[in-house]
Amino acid sequence: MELANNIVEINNLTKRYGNKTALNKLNLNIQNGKIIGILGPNGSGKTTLIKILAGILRQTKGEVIIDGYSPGIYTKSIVSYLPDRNFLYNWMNIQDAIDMFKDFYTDFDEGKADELLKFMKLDRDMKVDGLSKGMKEKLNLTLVLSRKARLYILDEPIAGVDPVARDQILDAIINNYEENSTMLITTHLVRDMEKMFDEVAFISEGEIILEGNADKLREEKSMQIDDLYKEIFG
Amino acid sequence: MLKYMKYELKGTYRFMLAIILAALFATSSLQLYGKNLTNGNNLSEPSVFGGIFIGLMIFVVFGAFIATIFYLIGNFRKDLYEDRGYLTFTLPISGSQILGAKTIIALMWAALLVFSFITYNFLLVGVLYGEDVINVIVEGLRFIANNNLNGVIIAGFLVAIFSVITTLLLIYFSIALSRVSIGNKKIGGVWVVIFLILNSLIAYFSIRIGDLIPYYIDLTNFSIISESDFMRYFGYIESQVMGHGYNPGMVVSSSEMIAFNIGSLIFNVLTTVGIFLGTSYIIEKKVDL
Repeated sequence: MELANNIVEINNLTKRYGNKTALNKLNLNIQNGKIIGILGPNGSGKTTLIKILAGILRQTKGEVIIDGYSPGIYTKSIVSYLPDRNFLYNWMNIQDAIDMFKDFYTDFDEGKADELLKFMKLDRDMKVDGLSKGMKEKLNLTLVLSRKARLYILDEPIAGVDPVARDQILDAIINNYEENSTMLITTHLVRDMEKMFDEVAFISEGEIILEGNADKLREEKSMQIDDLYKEIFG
Repeated sequence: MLKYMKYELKGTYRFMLAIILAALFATSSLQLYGKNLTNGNNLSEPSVFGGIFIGLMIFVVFGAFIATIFYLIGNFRKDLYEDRGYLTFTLPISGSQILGAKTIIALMWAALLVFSFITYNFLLVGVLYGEDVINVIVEGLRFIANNNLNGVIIAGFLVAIFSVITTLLLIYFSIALSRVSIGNKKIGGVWVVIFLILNSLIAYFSIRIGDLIPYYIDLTNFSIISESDFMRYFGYIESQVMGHGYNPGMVVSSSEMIAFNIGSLIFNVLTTVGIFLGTSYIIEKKVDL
């Protein structure tokens, strides 16, 4: 089956919380097989955008299409979403979490989960409730990356973890990324992540203010993406 | 839905088994203490500590039932208000599957608590007082059969279950509605107000519709009875026809029959289905995390 060129198409997406506009007529197309960085400071609308794509937040106006469908049951089956918080049930141990992913996601690869658990130094019998913030982050990422999803959405995957855990997480993302998949990563920690991006989109006050190929932008602006970020938001 | 039920069960069984064991322990203590106080036909006064103990154990028994209700309601609420919703609502399943699984598991625990409490106490009486419990059960069943009470008891049992399902779904609906309309956790208790208002409205319309359609169906033999038949046969229709809140219809019951106002019954069934579909829709399409 030939895959559509754009896995995600976003047209005039607006989200308002009361009087506050979080996303303002945002347009963005995301091609298959790319790693895209959505870059912006806190409160710029990154998480709002991601939540709409994940199907847990409704837009006020505009259109979001993922693999030809509006966010819903189908898109949830092809999207592997890492929220910016621990989403696992507190009663679970790691084994329960793996069982649950295996039960609900046909694309879950248990062998890959084992490799990642070993890499992250996590045991299946550990209780979710007893894990540190960094370990929870690693476990969540393990589960999300163990799926062979069409679209990975990672919301601030390295925020709030120590430098060692940060390196482990970055290595895990780079080594376990599926070639034919698309990965959307939001971050404001640009320096640590910019090497992995094919494309970047800068978001400010709910609008995409600059987007393009990461290498071309470096060439055009004669600076690293991190420096460009500081120039735009500094 | 079965898969989700599995995880609902896994997530609730530790607490619920502890609650059931606490209730059984408390009731055992009460029965043993009561047995201790009775010596043949002599009943001795409990000591002060004995009185406190009895009070405490009664508190545990009632507490177990109340804790169960709040726990099962809280289990639904947590998915709408806490981070665990990020897992629940990104699973590729529909709102009705989530709601159906939660409702079935909640009913299962409630039924297990009630059933185990009654059965255990029944057996304990047999052990402590030397009653032939099996014989008592057989006699009870024989009495029911001899007096043609089977239909009334089965229908009454089904009505009770339907009533519990409706109440539970209305609570879930109220929680979901308060989440999408207000969404502020600090005043999340507003669902109680929504529940009371909706409950009253459903009861009001159930009675009004019952007034418009004055026909009843006897669930023991599915015969249709008009209100004038009641007047003719019983002569005290006013005292016998009772509106039981939003419980299924206006109920007329005696030792021979259990009849429901047809209009109210249809209204209540449709309302329950509507509440289920409405709650499913809200949690699938309207909840913003």
